[in-house]
Amino acid sequence: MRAMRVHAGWILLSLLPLLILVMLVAVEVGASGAGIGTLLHAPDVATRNLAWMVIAHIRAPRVVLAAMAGAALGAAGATMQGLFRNPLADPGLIGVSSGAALAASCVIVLGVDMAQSGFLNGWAVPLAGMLGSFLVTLLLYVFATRAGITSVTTVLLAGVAFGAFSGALTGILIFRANDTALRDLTFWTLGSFSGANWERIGLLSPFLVLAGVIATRLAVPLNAMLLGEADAALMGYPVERTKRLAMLGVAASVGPVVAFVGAIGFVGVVVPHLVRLVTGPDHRLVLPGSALLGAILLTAADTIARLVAAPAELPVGIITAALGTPVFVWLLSRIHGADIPS
Amino acid sequence: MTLEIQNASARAGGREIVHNLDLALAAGEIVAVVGPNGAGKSTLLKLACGLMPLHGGEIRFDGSKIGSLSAGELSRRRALLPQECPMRARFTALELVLMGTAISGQGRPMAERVAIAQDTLDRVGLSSFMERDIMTLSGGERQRVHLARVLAQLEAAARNGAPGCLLLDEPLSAQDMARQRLILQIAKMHAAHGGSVLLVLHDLNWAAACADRIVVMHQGRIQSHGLPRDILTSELLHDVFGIPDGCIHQHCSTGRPFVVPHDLVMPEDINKRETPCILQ
Ligand SMILES: Nc1ncnc2c1ncn2[C@@H]1O[C@H](COP(=O)(O)OP(=O)(O)OP(=O)(O)O)[C@@H](O)[C@H]1O
Ligand SMILES: [Mg+2]
Repeated sequence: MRAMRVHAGWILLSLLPLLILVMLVAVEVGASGAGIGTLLHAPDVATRNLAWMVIAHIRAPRVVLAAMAGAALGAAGATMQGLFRNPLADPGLIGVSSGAALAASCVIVLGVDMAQSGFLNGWAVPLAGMLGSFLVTLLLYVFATRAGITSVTTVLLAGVAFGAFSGALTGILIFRANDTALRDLTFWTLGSFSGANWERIGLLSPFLVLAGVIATRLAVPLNAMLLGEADAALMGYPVERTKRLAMLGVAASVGPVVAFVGAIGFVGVVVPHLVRLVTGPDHRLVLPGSALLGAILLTAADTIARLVAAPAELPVGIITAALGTPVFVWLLSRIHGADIPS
Repeated sequence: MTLEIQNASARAGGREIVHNLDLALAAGEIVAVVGPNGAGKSTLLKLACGLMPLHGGEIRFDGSKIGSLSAGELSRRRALLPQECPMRARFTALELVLMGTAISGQGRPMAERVAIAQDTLDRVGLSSFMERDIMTLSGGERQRVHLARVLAQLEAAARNGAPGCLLLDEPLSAQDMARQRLILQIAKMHAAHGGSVLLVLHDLNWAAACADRIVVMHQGRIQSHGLPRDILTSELLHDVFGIPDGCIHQHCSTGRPFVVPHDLVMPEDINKRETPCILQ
């Protein structure tokens, strides 16, 4: 079995070239028809310049953002499932998504004029989203912590409750919204990478680096916590610090991601399960594997979203849910009940 | 490793569930805790290992107060085998045992930790189960994997110092008689190497056979405490367990007491032959 795990390590490593391949293909294809070939071989300068514009400033940042978001959502989903010891846990459970959604909706609906008049130059929605996600996660953490001990069950239930509540508030906002705001809202709630640019990637990067550093410190204690918090504490693992770090890592990565690209469902839930089928429960493999597979799948999903209805594009959340659901159901039918690796 | 429990109390569910417990374990000593269901035996062990907050009193390992030790320092001084180890993750037996050594054996090379894990699995009779997914093991096998994990935790910690304090909550509950004996021999070995062992047993005979001292718990208190022959008396068995008089015997070679309740055999059965009817 350990030999099998080593084998799994190689499979994961092979995901890296696959990711690069998917990203290259994603940069190559698009509605405008311009590709790397155009860039190299087009006879006139104007065409080459246009192709450069499209590839370097529209497609490339978009592909990079999709890969970053996928990595963040995949790894965060694996962290949450490990922390809550619940196969259905999702990064959204600690309020990052609902907090971001609520704050972003507020800006879209109530502040739409202000945003159009150039206020914060299109940054108002993502910044509000980030602030909203951090505040809600902090609130849940404080609410669920008594005398230095955080109850993950309380976090989970309060997170679900807050999600429903913020859904209601968002509903009220939708009710009040005008047509432009409604369109923006729809795109935002279903997720889209159309707003990608290098500045946003620059702002997102430090958050993801922080989350990556945290993830390296989480893997081993999360393994032990699969035995239960009490047993992990008995073996000397820093249980409370691990819970804090896990929540911090997820908030730091998923909060900004959701704020920039909207609430993209399913990646966080499904990807870790796919990875565990190959790796087993060890988080030292599950966390990097989920990041890689999440990046691959979300990059591919966004490429499909750009192409299926070109020149229009679908929100990427529609693709992830439409493709993710059959995969998830197939998975469930393959591995029944108690056999689901966790 | 010595363990001192002084005047310890604990609260749960809005009431005090164990009261003013006093107990000291010297290095090299095995003490068995017996008592009816709900007497507070598991609570005593949870208090002793720092899993439950004290509501009064003091606990010390080699003189250091439990509250002054970090989780990592505690993991080198004591290890607890819980009464139940529910877990659904599909680790292999070896991976699980290795987990127990990660903190207490911090700084040890991985190869040493693997050697310790393999050795403890071997000692609990599971050398051919190392690569098995623990979800596929039988109940008794899985309990012994957890025992190996607990042993490995202390083993990885002991470099030049004496072994730590082993706290076992009903370690025999899922074992056949041969494995019950094996586990008690492992406990004896641990004590022989200078460690101390506090274990909860329901079988009074095993307690009398292996322990240096027996602690009887009843309704959240330590009812009595002493050598097996002083503890297992008709009076105490009757008070605590409701066992009728005349069930205590003395082992002919060791002199230790043993208990055989005989009132399940009905008077009308006594004269019946045990031999099958065919021979009659
Ligand atoms: N969290 C809790 N809330 C309320 N009561 C509790 C709690 N934990 C333990 N108790 C009570 O404290 C008493 C002692 O429990 P403990 O688990 O120590 O018993 P025990 O001696 O180990 O019993 P057993 O032989 O059945 O394992 C029991 O009556 C139990 O119901
Ligand atoms: Mg008990």
